Amino acid sequence: MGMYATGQVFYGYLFDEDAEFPTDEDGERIEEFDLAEKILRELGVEDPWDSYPDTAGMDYRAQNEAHKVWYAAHKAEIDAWSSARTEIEKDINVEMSSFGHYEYSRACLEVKGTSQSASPSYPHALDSDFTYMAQWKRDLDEFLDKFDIEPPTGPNQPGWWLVASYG
Amino acid sequence: MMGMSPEGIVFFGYAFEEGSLEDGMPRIDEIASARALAKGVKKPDWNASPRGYGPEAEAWRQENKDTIDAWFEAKRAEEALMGADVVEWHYSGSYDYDCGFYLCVKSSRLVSEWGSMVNLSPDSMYAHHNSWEEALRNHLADLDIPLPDHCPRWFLTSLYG
Repeated sequence: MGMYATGQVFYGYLFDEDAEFPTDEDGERIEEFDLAEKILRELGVEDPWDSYPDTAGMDYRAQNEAHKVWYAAHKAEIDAWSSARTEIEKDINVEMSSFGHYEYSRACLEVKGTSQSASPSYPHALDSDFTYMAQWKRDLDEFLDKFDIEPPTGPNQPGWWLVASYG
Repeated sequence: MMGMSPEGIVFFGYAFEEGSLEDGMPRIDEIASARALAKGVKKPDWNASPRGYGPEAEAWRQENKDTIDAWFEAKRAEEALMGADVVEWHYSGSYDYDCGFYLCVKSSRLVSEWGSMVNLSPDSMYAHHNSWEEALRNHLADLDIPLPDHCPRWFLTSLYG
């Protein structure tokens, strides 16, 4: 089958399979909840890649040339934006993720650094004792608030979760 | 692999690499049998039992009921003396290859099957560590297995179930 079993633990929110997420202006479910980009936009810093030229229909050489010209003209802007983004990301302690595979996938919002996984081999020693910090829940809820995502309900949410998936 | 699905497993205990113990993973059932025999408990003569579940086999079981009951009671007692009602051994890894084995506290071993999620409630995860560690140590001492060079701890593994 070419697939492996993967066991994973993490601390965070685990969403139901049919959980509803915000949609964009076209009614499409938002796939990426990029908090760093959202914060930058709130600060009035636009993503320079938004002005990337439409090269559809050009042949490869023309596309390549258009990219070089555009990139050279926007390099300083891109570097500044990337640096700002990197700085903001240092303070973001949570991230959206998912587990499962193409037939079945569940979304989760996890605290960075709490996720650990193991394949079917010698057991992986966990550097966790399944305790948690109060700040973690605040970070998770702040993220949900930013994107108007309803927190999952149920016992011990957020909490430590053990899940299995095809790796 | 058809019909098999992944399982995620956490447990509190000790992990042993393949080959780390001379006799491999201890067979608690066999050890309990050997200890019961050494104490003079009579083992039922299973070879004399008619095969299957028919009337003859049932008659043989009734005829030897006292011996059979005493044997299993003695084995259960030996297993309890070893602490096997609290701890247990498992092979780790896949069916395809050897990845060692582990000794864990039974109640700490949690399995998440494909499509299900296990909530690792803090109350249940670390409330009994002291008694767990003692049970693990006592079991290894009873089997004359040296303590591993690491403390008992939480492990994560997976397999196709």
